[in-house]
Amino acid sequence: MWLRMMLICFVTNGLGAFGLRIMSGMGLSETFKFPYLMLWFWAGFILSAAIFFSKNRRFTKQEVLVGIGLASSAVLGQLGMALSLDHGIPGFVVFQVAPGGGLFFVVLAGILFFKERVSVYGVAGIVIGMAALGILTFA
Amino acid sequence: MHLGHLFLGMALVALGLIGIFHKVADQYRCRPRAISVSIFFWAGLFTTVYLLATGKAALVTETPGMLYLVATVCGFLAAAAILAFQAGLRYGKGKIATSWVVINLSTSLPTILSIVIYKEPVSPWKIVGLILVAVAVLLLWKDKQIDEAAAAGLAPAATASSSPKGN
Repeated sequence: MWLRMMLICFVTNGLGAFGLRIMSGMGLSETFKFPYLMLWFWAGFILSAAIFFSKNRRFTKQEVLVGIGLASSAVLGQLGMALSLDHGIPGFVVFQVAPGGGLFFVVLAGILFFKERVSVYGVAGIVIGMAALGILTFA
Repeated sequence: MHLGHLFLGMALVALGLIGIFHKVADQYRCRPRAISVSIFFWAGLFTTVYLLATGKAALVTETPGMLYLVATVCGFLAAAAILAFQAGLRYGKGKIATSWVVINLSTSLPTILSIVIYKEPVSPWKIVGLILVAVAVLLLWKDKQIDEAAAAGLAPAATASSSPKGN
């Protein structure tokens, strides 16, 4: 089941991110990046809300707080990358360091802080995955 | 070090915190559906406030209709991704260290689509990168299988971290 869910996530997340490439292909990235992101978030909200409110009514305090944390992080991440580009940091540095560093940070936190057990296959998968992302960024 | 580096640091920490908050959501047994609604509501609100505060709100009305369509379809897909990721964390015993790698590897899909649709040039390094993505996903799946076997008492897990699991 983990693999099935992760494959669904892999495909939908990848396709969801492809919109940025379509926008870039239309030559609209510079001007419409944040309006696009706003529309993107509200569209996600409409679908999520339709699914949630069909069976549920209330949120727990944790769900609201974690949602605020996740949303703030997502917006600050995008804003930080856009502003660092505006302040002269080259794109190949920004698009490598921010997502790559963030990934390393999460893996480290998972193993050290949350004490997750990772097999040698998992460690190899993490290292090869990070290498793959690095290669795809620079290639 | 100048302001650009500071913003880059902010982006790095913020993007990392997304993964950490997903883990926290799993630890507090937050429902995937509720988390998805909560994320998109607050993120939509924050970007709306940002556009209003920076005087760029008028751009929304000037946005081409095609971009509305793309944003809507991709937003729906992103919501499905959050739901699947949160549900997957439950089945993966909440392992963010490996699950977060999978969601990051999904960025290889736009690369493939860019090659197919936009006829972007394919360098040998790009091919190597895409092959490594597939290898990494297979290895992470193997890691999950070892977890399941260990949980069923069939095989001892060869672990990099010897500490007991926190959640």
